[in-house]
Order: sequence, then C-alpha cells, then structure tokens
Amino acid sequence: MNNIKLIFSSVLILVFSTFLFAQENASATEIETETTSESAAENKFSQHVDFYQALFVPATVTYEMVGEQLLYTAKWNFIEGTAGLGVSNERLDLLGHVSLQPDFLRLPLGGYCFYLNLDEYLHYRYLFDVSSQFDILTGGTIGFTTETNWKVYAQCFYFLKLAGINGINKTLVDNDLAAAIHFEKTFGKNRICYGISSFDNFYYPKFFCPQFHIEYGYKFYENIITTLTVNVRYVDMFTLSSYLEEVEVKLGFGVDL
Amino acid sequence: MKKRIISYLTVLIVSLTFFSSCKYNLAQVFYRPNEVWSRVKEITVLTPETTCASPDVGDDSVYKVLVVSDVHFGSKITHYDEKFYSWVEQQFENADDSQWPKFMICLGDIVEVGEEKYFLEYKAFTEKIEEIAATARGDNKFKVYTITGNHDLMDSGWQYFEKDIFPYTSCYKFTTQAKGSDKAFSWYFLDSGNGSLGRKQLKLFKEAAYSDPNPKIFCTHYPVYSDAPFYFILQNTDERDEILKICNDTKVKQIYGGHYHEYRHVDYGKFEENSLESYIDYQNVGIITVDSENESVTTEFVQFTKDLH
Repeated sequence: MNNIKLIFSSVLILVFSTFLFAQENASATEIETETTSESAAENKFSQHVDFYQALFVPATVTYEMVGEQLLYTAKWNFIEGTAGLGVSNERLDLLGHVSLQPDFLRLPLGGYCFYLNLDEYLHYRYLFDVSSQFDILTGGTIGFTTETNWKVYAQCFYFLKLAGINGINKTLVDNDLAAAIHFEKTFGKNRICYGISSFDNFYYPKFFCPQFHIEYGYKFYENIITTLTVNVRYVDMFTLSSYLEEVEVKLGFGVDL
Repeated sequence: MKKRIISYLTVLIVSLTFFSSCKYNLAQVFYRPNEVWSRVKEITVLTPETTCASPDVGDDSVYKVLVVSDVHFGSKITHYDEKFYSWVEQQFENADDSQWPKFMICLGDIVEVGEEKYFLEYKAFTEKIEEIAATARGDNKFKVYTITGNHDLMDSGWQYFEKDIFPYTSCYKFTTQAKGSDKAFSWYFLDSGNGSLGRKQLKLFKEAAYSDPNPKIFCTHYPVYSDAPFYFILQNTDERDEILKICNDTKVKQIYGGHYHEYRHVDYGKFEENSLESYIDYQNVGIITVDSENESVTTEFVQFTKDLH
C-alpha cells in the first residue's frame, strides 16, 4: 500500500515538475510559445491536469480516509479524453472517459448554445484484499451555455457494473442507471459549480445514492485554478430510508498545460 | 427580483408542507433521528442467561426455525394472521417434537409506517405465536427474533421498535447448540434499515465474524446482492463486496434477506443467499433446517394459506 502511495506521489511530482519546466520555457522563449500556440490552435489540441487531495468523512466519526486523485484531460478537435488515477488506504481507482463533442450537435439559439455530447466512462476499482469492480457507463450529456457564463448540463447513462470478489468464483452483474445534473457559473476569476449526481469520477454506487456537490474554483493565473469541493453522499433515497453516508472534502489544483 | 424571491419561497413552503403531511414523512428524506450509526453501538450478544435469552434447541442437532419477512402491519393489504396462527399450530401438532420449530425470525418491515399502534399490533402478533408454542412445548422458550427494516424507521419509528419489539435491539447475535454436542451455529442479525450497515456496524461484524469459528447464518433486511433489481438491494457496492468477502471467509452458510418482497436465490459456492417472498403479499414462510453436525442449512418455503390441512 505504501509502495503504491510512493509511486503515486512520484508520478504527481513528475507531472508538476514537467508543468513547471514547461512554464519556465514558455516565458523564456516567447517566440517559441507563439509558434507552439499557433500549432496547437491548428490541431485544436489542449491539455489539462487536475490533482485532488481528498478527505472522506463518514457519518460516524470513528473512521476517516484520505486519498489522492489525479485527472489528465486532453482535447483534440471534437474528442475529449480523460484518464484518472485515485488511491486511498482502501482502494485503487483507474478511470477512462471519452466524450465526443461534434459541432453538428451544437445549436446556438439566441443567447444560448445548446449541445449534446456522447460519453463513455470506464472505471476500475480494486478494493484491497476484497474485490475488483468494473463500471461501464454509456450515454450522453445534454446542456447549454449562456452569454452570462452559465453552464447547465444533465447526463444520463446505462450503467453496467461487474464485480469479482476474492475467493468467490462468481461475477456479480448489476444493470443500473446513472444520472447527473450540474450548474456552473463563472464570474471573473471565480467559478461556482453545484449539482446532484448518482456518480462521480471515482464513485459509482447504485442509482439511488445521490451525491450533492458544490465546488468553488479560483483562477490564480491564466492557466492555474484551485478548487474546493464538498460532496455530500447519501445511500438509498428510493425507499425513503436515506442515510448520510459520507462527506468528501477535496482540495484541488488544475493546470492547463 | 423581489417577486421572483417570493415565488421561490412560496414553492419551497408548499413543498415542505406537502412532504410533512405524507404518512411516510418525506420531510425526513435528508435526515431522521436514530440513523444506523446511533442505533448500533455494538453487536449485542444474547445468551441463555441474558434478559433477552438466546433460543434453546434442546437435544436436537438437526432442528427447524421459521423465518418471515415484510409483515407490514398498518398496510392496506389484507392480513391472513389467523391462518398463520393455524399454520403455526399445525407445526406443533407433529407427533415427532424434534420437527417442531425452535424459534422464529422476522427480517424487518414489521410496520408500514412508524406509528406505535402498528408496532403494538406486531407485538401482539408475536405474542400470539409465542403463546401457541408455549402451549405445545410447556415452556416460554420459543421466541420471535426481529430486526429493523426501512419501513420501521419511517416517521421516527425506531423509538417504538426499541421500546416494544423483542429483543429491543436490531444488531445482535446468538449461538445455538444442542445439549451434549460440541457443534454450534452462530446467528448474526444486522441492522440494514438505512439501506446500509454503515462503516461502524460493518467493522463490528467483520471483527466478530473473523473471531468466531462457528458456521454462521446471517440475517438482514436488505438483500446483500440477490441478483435483485438495483433499487432493492444494498446500495453501496463496496460495502456489499466486503460483506460477501466476510461471509465467504468465515463459514457463513446462508444469508437471509427480505425487502424486495419477491423470491431470489444466489449460490456463491461456499454459501447461499435467499431473499424471501413477503408475508404480506405472498403469505410466505420459510422453514430453515439446520444440521449442526454436518454444518449444513437448507430452506423450504411454503405459502401458509395453502399449506393448511
């Protein structure tokens, strides 16, 4: 476990070192940067990295868990891909997300721009010494942006979960749904995002386990944003016996590479 | 702007009024007193000496236990309690008293909503069954052991469950052992009324199960997996996996659950999971046969309204 954390920390340091090195080079050679920017614009290629330090606080204060999460997002033309890695003392998460955002599914209308994306999430979780879970989500995102910097979008997915438990020679299969609705507002250097969802990048419970979340982001520089996220997670709101299971508090840094 | 704020407030107030008038008390959708972390302080151990005594299986190493789920007193659906009493009497008419059930289990949802009058109706129901058994056996050792379901928590029902319903806790365990035998079975009753055991209870269960060498039977209201639809089983899949891992490692032979009201059965290899058809909809009762010498458990389900002579 400690080894995994060590490797993970090393990867993080490597990523941030690369970023800082890139920044220094960028300011030193302005001409080169311009050339690179032009080239990026031609290819419509962009990259972004998020790092989160997460604290999971369960309803009982007898247990706490700390974890780290890393997300790398790259966009090329109408394809956006995200790779993620999450680790805590109980589990390891790997994430892959592909979003197809074709221009013909965008509709500017008045002050709004409506859009439809097609999304695929692949998530793997290894619960140390317990089980392996594979989550496959297929669906889409529908939303709109406004001239006043509002972004509203809803997501709906067919959700297949496959789980294998150590020592049990049987695959558990769950056919499920996943859905989310998010609201995001940007004003100046500030960003506020809130919403409700049945899943998150590293969190895939059953459908009726809503996560209420709120996030505040502040842009320090042109390409660096820091975020504070609070996710309040309930279990089973379908049978009205809902239970506040966990609150996740995350401090994050995002960098446009 | 002012007009808009007033509109929002009006919608909010009307919504809250609607929620609070619902008999299921939707106002408690985000929070209710007595969540699982406050209901479960420990796994209470019942023994022959405790006030709420563990069952007595006598000299029989092979014995029967009755199990029902989702009784739902207070529901508008017709109850067939008289027929159930007759069916229980019928079980005690067997000339071979080793075939008589030793105790009964109810897997939760004993009431439709958390009003005390419904809990008292359920209490009278269990007392009647215990009375039938006492008449046949000549003692008061036959008991009905109950755990909490999600309906029992609605509208703050836990306060009545805790006060009125034997064994006055929803997280407990006991051991059954035939006299003169060294083979015992452990029975674990866990509180899943919130759709989750919660981290604390799961930890307690894990510690207790790994330190207990006996074969086990695990009872809970929510099915753990059962291959049932996603909205009627434990919702946290990490928790689910951990429970199944514990069951696989610690000689659990059977898991019994209710909640879904339909029958489901899953064979995991070393152990099985049974979700019971409900008492209220199907007049279903399970007869568990425990063979402690061979460490095996089998279950037969009957519809008591049709099984009457």
